[in-house]
Amino acid sequence: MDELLRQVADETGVPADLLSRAAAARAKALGVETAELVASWAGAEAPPPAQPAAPAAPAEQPAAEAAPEQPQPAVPAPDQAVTAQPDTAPQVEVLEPEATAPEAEAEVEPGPAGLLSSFPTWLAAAFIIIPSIAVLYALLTPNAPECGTAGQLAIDPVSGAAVNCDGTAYGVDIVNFFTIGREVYDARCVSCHSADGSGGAGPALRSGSVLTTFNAGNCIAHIDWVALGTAGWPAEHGNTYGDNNKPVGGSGAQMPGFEGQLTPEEIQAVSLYERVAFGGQPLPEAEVDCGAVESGVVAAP
Amino acid sequence: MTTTAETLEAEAPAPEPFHDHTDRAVKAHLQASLVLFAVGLLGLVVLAVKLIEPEFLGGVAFLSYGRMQPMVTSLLLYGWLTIGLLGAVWYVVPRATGAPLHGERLALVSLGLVTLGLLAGVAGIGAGLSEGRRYLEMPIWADGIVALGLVAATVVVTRTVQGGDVKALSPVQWYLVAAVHWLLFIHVVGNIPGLTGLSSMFQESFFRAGLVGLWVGAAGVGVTYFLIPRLTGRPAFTATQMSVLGFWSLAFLWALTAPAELTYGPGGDWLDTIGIIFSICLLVAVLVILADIVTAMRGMWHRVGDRLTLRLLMAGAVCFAILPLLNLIVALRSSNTVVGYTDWGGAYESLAVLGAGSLWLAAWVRHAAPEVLGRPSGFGSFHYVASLTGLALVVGSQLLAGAVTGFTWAAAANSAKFINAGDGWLNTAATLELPHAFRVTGVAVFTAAQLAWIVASFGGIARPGAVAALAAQDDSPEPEVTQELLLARPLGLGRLRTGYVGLFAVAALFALVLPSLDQPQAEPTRLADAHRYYPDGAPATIGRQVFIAEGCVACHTQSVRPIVTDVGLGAVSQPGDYARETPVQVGWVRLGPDLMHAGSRDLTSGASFVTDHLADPRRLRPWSIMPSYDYLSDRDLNALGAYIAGLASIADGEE
Repeated sequence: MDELLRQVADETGVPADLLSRAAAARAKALGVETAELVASWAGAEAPPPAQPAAPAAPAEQPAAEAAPEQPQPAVPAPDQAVTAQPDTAPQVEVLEPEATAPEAEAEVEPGPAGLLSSFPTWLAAAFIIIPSIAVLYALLTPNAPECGTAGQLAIDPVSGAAVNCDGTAYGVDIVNFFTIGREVYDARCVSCHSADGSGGAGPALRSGSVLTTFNAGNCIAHIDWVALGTAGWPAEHGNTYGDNNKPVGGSGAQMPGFEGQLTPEEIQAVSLYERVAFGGQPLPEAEVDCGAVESGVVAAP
Repeated sequence: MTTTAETLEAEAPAPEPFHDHTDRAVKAHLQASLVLFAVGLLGLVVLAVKLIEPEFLGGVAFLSYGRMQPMVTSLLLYGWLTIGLLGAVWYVVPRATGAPLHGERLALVSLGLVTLGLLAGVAGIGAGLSEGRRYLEMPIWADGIVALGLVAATVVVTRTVQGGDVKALSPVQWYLVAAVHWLLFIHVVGNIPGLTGLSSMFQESFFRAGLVGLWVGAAGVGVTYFLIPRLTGRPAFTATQMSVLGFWSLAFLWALTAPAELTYGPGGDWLDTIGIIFSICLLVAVLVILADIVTAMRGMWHRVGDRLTLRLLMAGAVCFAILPLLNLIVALRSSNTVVGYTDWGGAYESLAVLGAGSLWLAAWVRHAAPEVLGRPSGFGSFHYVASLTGLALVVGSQLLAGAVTGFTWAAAANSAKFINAGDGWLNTAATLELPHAFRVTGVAVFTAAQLAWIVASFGGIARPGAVAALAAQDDSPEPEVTQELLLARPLGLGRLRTGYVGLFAVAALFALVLPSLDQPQAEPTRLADAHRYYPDGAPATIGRQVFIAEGCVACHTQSVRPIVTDVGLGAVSQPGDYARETPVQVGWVRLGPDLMHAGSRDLTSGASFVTDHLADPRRLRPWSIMPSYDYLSDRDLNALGAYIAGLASIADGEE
């Protein structure tokens, strides 16, 4: 075996004692006899130039183990492999991974001693930072998050339903109220006032005329008018209506009273819709004007 | 290695030379798990098809979606992963210890009991005896048989390790010894009867987290630590500080993430917070384990390119690494408002079972097949590519489904008059169509890959020359005993045992015992007294049993959360709402609408409407993917209708 070892050492330029240690380690790893392995290396050294790749692989071991005293051994072997390749064109493809691998390994492999004591700084940092984030989260949000954050809503004490943070039913917002008003208008009002508020049997509402009759700030009268109609109004409020004192029934058409046919909320909603859609009153203002904010009207069942 | 039949009989307690050891138990486990895997996967395909074609194989009770879903889950979790990973343990631990498997006959008895219990349990579910608890559907007597098998397994693994040097164990042994014990603990704790109300839900979530992390995850990591040095032929230097830290972090953290899937659910807010903080911390554990694996692989990555086994192993590790991320996204309150109760939970499940667990196990089977089965495992590249493609399609489709439905719910809550139930469910059903189609494709591809591989593993392609060709194509021979390749650390069996038992107890305390003792969940609310109270013999009580037996909970939640997404579904669920029910049917995903207040909410409801709808869901709602329950007897169908119609809200003024 010693003879074989010397032969390999001569051919690779790697000191014999290093080769011997490499072979022992490699043989142990592969589960074969050391002598057997050395023999295969020696065979591999023989003239067929494709084979130098084989000793190149074991060279990784001395590189790792003997790094402090002899850093070169790994280098000549891969070099040899590289120079050998052009001569062995048919076999290059097969051998390529074998031949190039040691180069990469020799560079990155710090050896067992280094690995055993290594604990990368970034990992240590992560080990502190990530749990800190968790603790911080626990301190900042020990229970449910505040209403309005992370999708959290309040719970109505009576119905148990999820509601807005101010206690109003979820969905009572401008869009909803306006939408209900439009649905009511389209169902009940278009026959006399037309879909775009241009009027028909009843007076036109658009271009601000609805606000001329019931001024901004006087939505309550508007709601009353829709509820009572031409028949019910005089008994309550006299023979004129609106801020410009129009005579009740003056246009010759009868306005039905919707009290009883629509819910108070729907009357509220349709009044709001007319004022916003045809009178041009800003939505938030109309909402306050018509008492929609305080009423807490529920849009959805 | 000698694997001749003569040495089989030589199983003696005296420490024999390792090479005389046989792999009889390994082989039996491997074959059983492969068969059960194949059966489970066929069921998975049927389930996926039912999502787009609800009448497919309809009309047969045990083939209905609600019954098959838990049957398939049990087959995959217990049949494939548990039996398969136990087989891996019987293969790996003796080799890592340098001592023979101590009690091979006991290991075979364990296999028999686990298989018997599983098959009995699956048959029980099919026959309508489901317990209606997620992952724990098997009847209690079946779970008892499985438990006996698992006790035997813990005895075998402990005695085998004791056959070697018990003062210095390698990470392979830490993980595998602990994992087998955790499996027994989690199985027993999950099946303890008598927990009422929401406690039974905490028990389910604890079981689920434990099974995924402490059994499948830990065993998979242990097998990985063993296979890396074997496949690279180089010591993996695996006993580093990182290995130690990774192991104990996993042991401490994973089961404590159990409440993560309950965020915004009816459990307490503090419980949600526990789930979230430990889900954040779990990232550390997996990061360290992964860093250690990467370190062990340093300089050996070129082997991943030419060794399928190593590729499968690394793909499993990648899936494993994504799990805590998915878990965290589902747990965090802000993201939970979107993905809670969507298919994201299913994506996590697929990634754990079909991803991490199956890929790791397949890597081991592929590695061990030549030695144990006597022939290489076939269909190398096809199996690898098709498995990953199928897996990506399945998980991707579930993530897509979850995101699309989640955002649809959030957007819909802001539009007027929207109710995410009854006819309003149309919108949600529409968003699920495309992802479900992707899912069928993915499951089919994944299953095709596995079936081809399984059949080949049993010699189904033993044409002359084929095996030789496979041998050439597959991995080259590995070094035999890798005991020397595994660096051990002076962590003795005693300290290891104290650690894994103690940490499990801590997790059980915080994720199960304390939440169960939390007062509000035991105190019945008005709703519980008025509408969720089930005295013996009442129609609603019978209906509830039918609801459980048919596995309705696989698609319907009974939980209204205090978040935007659930506006319109009625009163937010309180812990005490469930105080009079055991087991609770809170659920985890809405493939159909929430049923907490179904009786009051759906304007067209009423027992007769519900009954008609159950008998023929597509008559009134052509878009529905609910199975037809016309196979139920009139009595059962009417009872089920009465139960669902009785899930009412407290009306105004009602006491």
